[in-house]
Amino acid sequence: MESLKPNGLFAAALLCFALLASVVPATAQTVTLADGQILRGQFEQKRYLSGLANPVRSSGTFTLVAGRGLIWTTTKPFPTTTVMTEAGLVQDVKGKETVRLAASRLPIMSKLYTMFGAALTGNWEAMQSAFALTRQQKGQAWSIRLDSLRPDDPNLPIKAINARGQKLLDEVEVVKPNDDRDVLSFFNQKLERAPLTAEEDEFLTRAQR
Amino acid sequence: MVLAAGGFLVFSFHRANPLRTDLTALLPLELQDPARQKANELISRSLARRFVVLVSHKDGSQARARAAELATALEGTGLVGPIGEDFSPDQLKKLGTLYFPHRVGLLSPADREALLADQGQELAERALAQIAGPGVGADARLLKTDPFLLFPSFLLNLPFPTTRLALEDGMLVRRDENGTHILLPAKLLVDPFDLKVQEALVSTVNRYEASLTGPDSPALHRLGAVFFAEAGARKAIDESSWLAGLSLAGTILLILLVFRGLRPLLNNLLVIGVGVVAGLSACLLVFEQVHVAVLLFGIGLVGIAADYGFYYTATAFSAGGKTPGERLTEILPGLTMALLIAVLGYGALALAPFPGLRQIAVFSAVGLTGAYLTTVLWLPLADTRKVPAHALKTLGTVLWLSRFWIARRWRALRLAFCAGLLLIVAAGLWRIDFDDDLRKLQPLDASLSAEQAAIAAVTGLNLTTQYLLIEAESDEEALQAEERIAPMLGAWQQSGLIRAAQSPAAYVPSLTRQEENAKLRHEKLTEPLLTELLEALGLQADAISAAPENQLELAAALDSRANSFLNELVLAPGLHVVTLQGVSHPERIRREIAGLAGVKFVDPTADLSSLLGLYRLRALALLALSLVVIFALAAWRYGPRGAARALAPSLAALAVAPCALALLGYPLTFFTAMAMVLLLSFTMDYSVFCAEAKRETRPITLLAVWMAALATILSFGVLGLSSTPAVAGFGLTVLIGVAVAGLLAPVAAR
Repeated sequence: MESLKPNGLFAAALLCFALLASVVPATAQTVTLADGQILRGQFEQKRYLSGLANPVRSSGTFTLVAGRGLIWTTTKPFPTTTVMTEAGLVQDVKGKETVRLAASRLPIMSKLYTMFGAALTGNWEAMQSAFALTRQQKGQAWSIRLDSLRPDDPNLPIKAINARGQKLLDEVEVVKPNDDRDVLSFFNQKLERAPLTAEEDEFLTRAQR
Repeated sequence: MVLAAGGFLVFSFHRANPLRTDLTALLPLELQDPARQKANELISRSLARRFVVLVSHKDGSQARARAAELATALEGTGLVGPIGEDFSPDQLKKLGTLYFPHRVGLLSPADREALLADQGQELAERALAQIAGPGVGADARLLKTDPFLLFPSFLLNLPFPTTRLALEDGMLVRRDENGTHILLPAKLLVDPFDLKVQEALVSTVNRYEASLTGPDSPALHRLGAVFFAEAGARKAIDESSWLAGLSLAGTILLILLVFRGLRPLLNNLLVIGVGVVAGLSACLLVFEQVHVAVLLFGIGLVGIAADYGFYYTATAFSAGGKTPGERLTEILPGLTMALLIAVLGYGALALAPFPGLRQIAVFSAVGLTGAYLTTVLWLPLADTRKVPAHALKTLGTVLWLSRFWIARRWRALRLAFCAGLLLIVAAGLWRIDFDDDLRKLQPLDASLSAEQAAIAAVTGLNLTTQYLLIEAESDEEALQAEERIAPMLGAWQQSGLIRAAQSPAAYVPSLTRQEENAKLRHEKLTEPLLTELLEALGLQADAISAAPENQLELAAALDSRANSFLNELVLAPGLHVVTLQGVSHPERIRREIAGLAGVKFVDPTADLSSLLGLYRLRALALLALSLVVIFALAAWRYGPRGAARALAPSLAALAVAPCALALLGYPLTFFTAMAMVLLLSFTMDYSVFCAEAKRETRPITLLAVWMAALATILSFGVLGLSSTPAVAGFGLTVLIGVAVAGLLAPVAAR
């Protein structure tokens, strides 16, 4: 008997949320992105899917623009750009839009943005409604563990999130209810107050439509 | 019989409230198009059951808590199903369970286009991007059953109506600068047009709203047919009770003033009472339910039923010690002729295929017959046989008044009166404006309309009533027809002609389309590109489980009830609805589908308005026909000249009333036309009484006629005070017409 939770598909949409939540350091004394501030960096993602011998790997750069959204540019295995905003998620493959998940159509996307906003402003209470938070701090290094309060909730198919960093986030692991997991590593993060490139601006504008 | 009818009434009201409040119950049964009619009925029935309440508060948690309380209160009435059922978190899961086994034939419109355009490679790359990308992930189970991720794409592109709301923990939420808004979507389990249901529901919401006091209380907005119906019914009942009170009080005063005795009053009230009881119970026996508007019109019967009693009671004024039997014999031809004409006149109403008018026809015909029989059988028995002391004086006054039409010294005034009537006709005729716009005839409750606008502004929710009706031999053919027009709908959407559309075929493709899709998928995707994709993913070919060749039948999808929208779009096998949202130019849509067989554009309000227009024409034709028949009847009895004389008051009333109404700024609507049909039967009473009366009883006849006219003005005329334009127009027509005919009545006397 085949059975499938289509929501599983959107699970990873939530990984973005997890990611964003963890881009902003979990400790109180660290920076919160102000409007117009930009956080740039590089990432490497390993997606472990049960039944696949090797993880699906991808790498590239990301740009988080406070108040507007996140641009996730994958360069390997091939060029893909994913933009997430209040309005939903848009994905381009080789410069052509292939996926558009409007928040108006997928309620889950809006939930994501509610929490996205909360994470950006450093308001962890929104996270606490869905996860139990455990923080640890050792000198400069910190780590946080988020355990889902409702692991069966089809709207939030994340079992746990583990994040660690020093000044900024270094690595995050997102575990799904079926034990599939993503491990994301971050490098060379820079907090900027420079204007966006024309291309970035175009991406965000289009995604916000 | 009267007792039986009374008993039946008590039983009917005791068993269930038989009063109906929906406008549709008043409307035509036989539209020109039965499919359209059925569609309208089914749609309004399912739409009418839905309602929403929006709870808004600055504070999100307050809004949630209040919304939850209200939901519990509403569910507690037992009248509504679980609130937010269609938006439960596992809705998507239900859809997935329905569609997944049939995925081989399911493609989103864009994916199908891509495959038709030989762009399979792009779909494969999209799948890889999704698997590797951050936004969309797929677990291995999904990949093994749907490696190109076409199924999620299909699911996400189902054309669900879009709103600005998002689902949060089982509640539909929108946040804006004014705070948090929570929408409670509910569906009534019972008839929304049952007065008891309306009262129970509205009082639950009102009670809850009243319990929220203080400056920090949330704002509630409501939207739904049940609220509009309740407001309309409340208004109609309030109005009909004070209008009926006014009418009854006036009639009693009239009787007391003229007959000066308790017995004539009781006798006449008996006539009226029997008329109303007989009419209402006959109506309930035939129709089981009576519309409140019929009740409103039914109060008019009070005035007409009184005619017969008045006429008989007035005969007591004649001197000469005649027995009641003799007096009855004298006026019997007039009474009988009047009843005959009235029943024929109301019978004409029954020809109009409006259930409401049929109810009025039955109500009136049976009620009047009851009043007639009471007058003929009972009043002579209850008679005191005494000539009232004031009889001579009263009759003298009547005689003096009736001289107006004979006396030489009144000639100038007579001419002035006639010139005045002619002037009204001449000035008003050119200003008659035909308008049957339903929205103007029965305006919706203003505060509810404002709440509707507020809800629409916050949520983007739009109650659509315009749609395309698809008629075909079978569901499969209907689905194919929808697939043929899908590109046109897409173009309409692009050009802004419509904002969105929902078609059954978009949820369940035709079997032919599913077969095509399966073939496309195999030839353009699986065959050339699967190996490559699996290599990229590191999956073994044998790990892939092929999608079963399993087609989704529309009937199965309907039975699953996984998608309540779909169930509302399929009315019957082969009879489907494609809803259209945000139609900007209805006439362009009509033009574009003009050549398509089995596809019709339906705009219920506009259709109803044009239908009313059509029936207005028919009512006027009916009136002309009645005039011809009545003239022939009158000519046979009174000769052509006598007939012209007898009909003069009625003709003058029919000419003056609509022109005067036009001068007052009222359009000539279907309801005015129906009032004119009734006007003919009212005024014919006066003509017949006068024409049948002997010279020596003329004062008595005139007394009865003028009392009848006054009673009609008191009953129907008071409807002119109604705040519903349709009802006011109706009342004013009768008021003006009866006044004119009453003044002219002596002219009809031989």
